[in-house]
Amino acid sequence: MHLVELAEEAAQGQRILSLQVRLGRASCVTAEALGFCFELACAGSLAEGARLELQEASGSELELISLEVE
Amino acid sequence: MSRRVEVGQAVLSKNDELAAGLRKRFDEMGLRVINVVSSPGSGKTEWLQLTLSQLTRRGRRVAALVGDLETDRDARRLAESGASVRQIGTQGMCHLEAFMIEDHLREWDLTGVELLFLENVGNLVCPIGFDLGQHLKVVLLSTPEGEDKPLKYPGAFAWADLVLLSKMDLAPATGFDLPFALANLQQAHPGVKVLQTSARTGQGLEEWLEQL
Repeated sequence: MHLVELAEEAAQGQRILSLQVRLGRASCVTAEALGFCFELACAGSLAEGARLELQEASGSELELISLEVE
Repeated sequence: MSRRVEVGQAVLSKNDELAAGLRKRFDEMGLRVINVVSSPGSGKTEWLQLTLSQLTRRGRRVAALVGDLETDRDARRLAESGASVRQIGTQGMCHLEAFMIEDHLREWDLTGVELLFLENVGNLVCPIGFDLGQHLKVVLLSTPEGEDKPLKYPGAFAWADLVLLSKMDLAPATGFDLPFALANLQQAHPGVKVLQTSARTGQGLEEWLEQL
């Protein structure tokens, strides 16, 4: 949810096509869980239908690096 | 044509900002805040009941904010101590977040209160990701849970400033191997301070109150 909120703010009203996210192994979030929640969290938002592109990291990062907007 | 927007922001940065604001407010109020985390059933509420009633009896002004998915059972238990207590119903969320604390502070007068305990939702994973503006992070490990919990959930024990081994009165019944548990705690968090406690017998209470 926090991720989608952050993305919507950065997108400033434009439709979001994809999100590039850095996900650390020690972040307490797994790629599978994030992927599952992501679709639900995006429903009805500017990021509806957007692609989630994960970059693996080794620390506790959970960071929205960039967006691709229309 | 699509366009790239650089963001470069931690997903939980909003929570961190709110928590930093809370910490500043707590400091201005002279309020010390303790975030208490453990798995469900390890005795957070029982220990806080004892803590609050002891502190209240000694004339200290204390308060507690307790998070659970459902019911206000824990808040009612803690309020018996005479302390000011509020319940946060997280409605399914598995941890407390800074915005929940902020919401509750809006209509709760804590003037003159010295200590505020935040009893987090029973969970050894998610709560550690969310700063609540606390000054002290406490994790409970109860003897029936097993000595190897610090190895299975290293994140929570590495996060803690202080670990309370709870239900020490049950240690003989559960065959709790204390040296093994202490070694595992040191492996998860070298140098972490550990207190052996029991809400039933009052073991460790004075040492705990000193830490506050």
